[in-house]
Amino acid sequence: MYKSRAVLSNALVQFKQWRRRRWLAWLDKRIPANANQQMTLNTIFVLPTGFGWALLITALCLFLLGTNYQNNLMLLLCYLVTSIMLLALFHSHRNFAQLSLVASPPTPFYCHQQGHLHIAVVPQTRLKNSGIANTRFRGRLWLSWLVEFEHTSHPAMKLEHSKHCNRRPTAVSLQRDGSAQCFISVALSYPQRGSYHLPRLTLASEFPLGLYKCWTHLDLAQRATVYAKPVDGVAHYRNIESGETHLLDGTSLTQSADFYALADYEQGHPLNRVAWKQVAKNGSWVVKQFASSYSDTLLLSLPSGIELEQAVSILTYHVLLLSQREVKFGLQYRTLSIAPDSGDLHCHQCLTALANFALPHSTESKIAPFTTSQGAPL
Amino acid sequence: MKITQGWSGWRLSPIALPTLLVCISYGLLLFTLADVLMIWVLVLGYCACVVSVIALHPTNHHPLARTVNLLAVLSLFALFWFGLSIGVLDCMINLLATACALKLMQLRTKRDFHILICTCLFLIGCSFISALGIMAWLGLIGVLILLLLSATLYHSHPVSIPQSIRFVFLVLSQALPIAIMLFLLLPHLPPLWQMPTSQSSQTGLSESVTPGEIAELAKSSDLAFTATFTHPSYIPTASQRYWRAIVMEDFNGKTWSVSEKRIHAEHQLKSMGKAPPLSSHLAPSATPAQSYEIMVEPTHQKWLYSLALSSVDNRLNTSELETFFDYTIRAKTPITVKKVFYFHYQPSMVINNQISGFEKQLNLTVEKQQNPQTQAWAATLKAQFTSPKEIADALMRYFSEQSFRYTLQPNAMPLNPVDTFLFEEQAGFCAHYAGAMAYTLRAAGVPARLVTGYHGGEILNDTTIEVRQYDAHAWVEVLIDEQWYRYDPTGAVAPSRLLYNLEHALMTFGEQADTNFISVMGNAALFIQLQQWIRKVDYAWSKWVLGFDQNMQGDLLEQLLGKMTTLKMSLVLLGALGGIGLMLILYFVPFKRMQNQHPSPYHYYYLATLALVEKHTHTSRGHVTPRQYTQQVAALLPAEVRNVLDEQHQLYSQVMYEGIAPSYTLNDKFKQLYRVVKRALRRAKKKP
Repeated sequence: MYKSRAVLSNALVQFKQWRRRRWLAWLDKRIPANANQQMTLNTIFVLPTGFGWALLITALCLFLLGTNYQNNLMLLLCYLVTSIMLLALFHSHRNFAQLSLVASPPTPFYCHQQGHLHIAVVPQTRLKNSGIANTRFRGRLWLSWLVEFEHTSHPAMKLEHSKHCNRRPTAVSLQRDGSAQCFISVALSYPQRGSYHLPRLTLASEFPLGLYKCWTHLDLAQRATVYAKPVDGVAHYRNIESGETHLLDGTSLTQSADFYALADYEQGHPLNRVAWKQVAKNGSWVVKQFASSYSDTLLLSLPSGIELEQAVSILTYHVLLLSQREVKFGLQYRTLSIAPDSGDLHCHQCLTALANFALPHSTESKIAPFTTSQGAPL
Repeated sequence: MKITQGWSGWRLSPIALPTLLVCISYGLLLFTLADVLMIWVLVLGYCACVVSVIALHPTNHHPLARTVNLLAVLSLFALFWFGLSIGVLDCMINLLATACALKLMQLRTKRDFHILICTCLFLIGCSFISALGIMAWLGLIGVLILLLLSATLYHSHPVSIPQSIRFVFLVLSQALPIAIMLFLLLPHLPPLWQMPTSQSSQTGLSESVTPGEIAELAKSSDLAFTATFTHPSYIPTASQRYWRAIVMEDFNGKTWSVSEKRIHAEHQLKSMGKAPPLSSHLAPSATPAQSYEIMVEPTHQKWLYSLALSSVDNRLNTSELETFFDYTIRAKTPITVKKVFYFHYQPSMVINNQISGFEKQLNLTVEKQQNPQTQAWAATLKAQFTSPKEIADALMRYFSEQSFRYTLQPNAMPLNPVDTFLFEEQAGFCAHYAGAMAYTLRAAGVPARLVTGYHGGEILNDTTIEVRQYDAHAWVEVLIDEQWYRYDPTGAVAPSRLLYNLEHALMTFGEQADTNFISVMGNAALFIQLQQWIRKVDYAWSKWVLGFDQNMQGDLLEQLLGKMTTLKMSLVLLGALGGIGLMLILYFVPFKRMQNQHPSPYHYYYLATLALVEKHTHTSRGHVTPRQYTQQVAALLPAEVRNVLDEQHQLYSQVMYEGIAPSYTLNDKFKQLYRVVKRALRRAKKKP
């Protein structure tokens, strides 16, 4: 008995997943992925809301009452309500069709932090020559992620999902306060490093009377790269030229470095390098610069026996540290091997490689970020 | 907006204004439904309004769910308790109003809000059961506007209030043509099932007469019905305007009422398949039929009034009418809306005794215990005269020779009312006279009965007569030689009642009817004109909106399209759909060419401002640039205008040449500057 029920429920889950896959495939065909999305007849879905149905039922009741009492005024009211219902359909569709979105790729962020997906709301191209540079969309916009499957394959993800994932849509108001464009900023956060294909974003609006809900599921074709969380730890520093190997962690590295000069503070400099004495003395913010003793090319690697996630985090930390000092360095960890180089691009390459290294989940599946909170116009 | 300023110190939540609007519209609905609603429901409703307005303040809270639930249980009990006595329909309206009140106290979620709006909308529909006038309709449409506005403010939150108001009016103006088209073209169905009627709204004549009741009716100047004749010459002379409604053959010493035995007998006759008189196919075709229609105000009763005597025009009547053997006419269902009925007036027709022995028997029954004086007098009359006609004539003579007085405020006559009236008080009105005469005739062995209806009517135009409630009247029918003859003792006492109207009759006896119609009417010509005009509008409204039914729809379509066939009918329906589609296209498809012809608003206002300056200075701009032009005429302009123009030039060149994107705010700015210039120039013109 119990077993058969389990089989049945399993079959049901299978069927639901199959149906959802079919639906998503249909969506992919109907609304193809694109960073630049314009609302058309194909992309907008409209259905009456509960209020809409309630109003229709009220109109029906009015019709019955009016017919039975032969009361023309009631019939007139019923027809008036019906035609308002009809007009509201067109008004809400027309309003929603004003939406036109351009998504810019989210900057990579660390998995303990929050990233942002910026979506610019621009005027429809067919309205560009009307002298209006603002979007004509009015009312509130409700945002939520379209989660591909109810349960993600990864158990940790599943747990985290149930903890954080706020499935209720958040409202954004697009105000036309003179600025040329409005932005929607969608907060992203992932508990796991990796490179994620962002799932479809559902945008919905109930403007103007709340009788109809217009919505769309947009694939903005964006990937979010989530770096591992940097953690201080001991790493092998091997000088390629001299062949020397040091076992260093972050603090020892900072201490061992020679003080070289003071430079003006710029935003983004780490606080631990601010020369606080000077700041206290004359109020000008300066940072210490170090002449690294490792002016030669280095190769980073780790002592064996460290657990994978820990190792990736430690390496991330060291990559950041070395990039700050503009040291030329390479990376060697298990199968991962990156030739020595320096610069921002190199840093990004290293971090991305680390983020994607030996991932427990496939990077191709679209996993929803946890929060869609916050979306005030910028 | 005002509220936000008034209650400064805290921000109103976005749902505050929608809630307030719903409260206002609910309050207005309670006011219109006040006749139907019970007092405690009204009190509860207004309390709920106050509670929910108070709860808008962030430091206040809605009443606890437990409190509201307790209230709900209590009101449910109360509704059950009183519901039995007020009828199903009134009970439903009370229930809806109570439910609204309870929901209003618990207005928390979006869903609550939606339910409230839908219920209020339905209550508007319920108000139309009793409020049928054009003003009431406009008022209730106002309530609808408030509800729509509230829904708009709730759902399109960041949009400003004036914009929301504009949107509501836009939608309404777009919806009205569609609604009217649907109303004109969709088929008007007959009632699907029998509905309960509202007891509290029953008006007009009742099925029993205790002298005194018609006096109550006489105080009301409400319209009873309007009769429209097909030809001006068909309108009968004032004294002949007897609108016969109910025949009363049962007298219990105090009250005249419709006889139970009569109803029973009618049923039997109908089941035997005997056709009652007045149904059209039996009408004598020899006399020329004078056709007319009457538009009856809703009475929520079945009785119908017709000019005595009229046959029913079954060809034209949309709802079925029943005719009876006492020559009365009734509708099959209670009249709940203004309705038109068609009749043929046949002045030469007489009332025959249809059920010979029975009718005679029924109309001879007299209560023997009461009124000994009258019975004695009747006995002498019976001995004195031989024929019933002579007895009746003698009675009429008695009324005119004795010093009877016509008054609407007679003294109460609780004991032996006929004796007291005939020999002591000698003062009363139609019901007293008719009652006393019928009683005396019966006592003298002449079959007689009381008939109620209306007498008189005011001429509205060439073919139309308006009859109001104060025209209610009662008279006597006497059976002489197997035919019923009308005797109106009131006419013998106060001939002016029959020749003119109630007011006139009372004046001859030095009494003012304390109805408001006399004081209201006054003598001002303008006022009478205005009242005439209002009556005509009301008549047109009743005829074309309230009375629009299958017949009128058919006539309308036939006039437009010729003879209707099923094919044409379906084409009309398709055409209605097509028409709605066309309207939608008109509303929503942006016409590109028109848009391009219109310059952007900022450009328009810029040029308009320059045009203002041109008009003010009387110097045309020619081909110089705007900036040069304003420098030319600078001396003629006030300083304020010069500054504004400088600002406009700068903004315009920024938009045109510096690549600043035009926006709504820019448009608004130009509009504002235009207005400033306009105002300043007007001021400058006044004080040069």
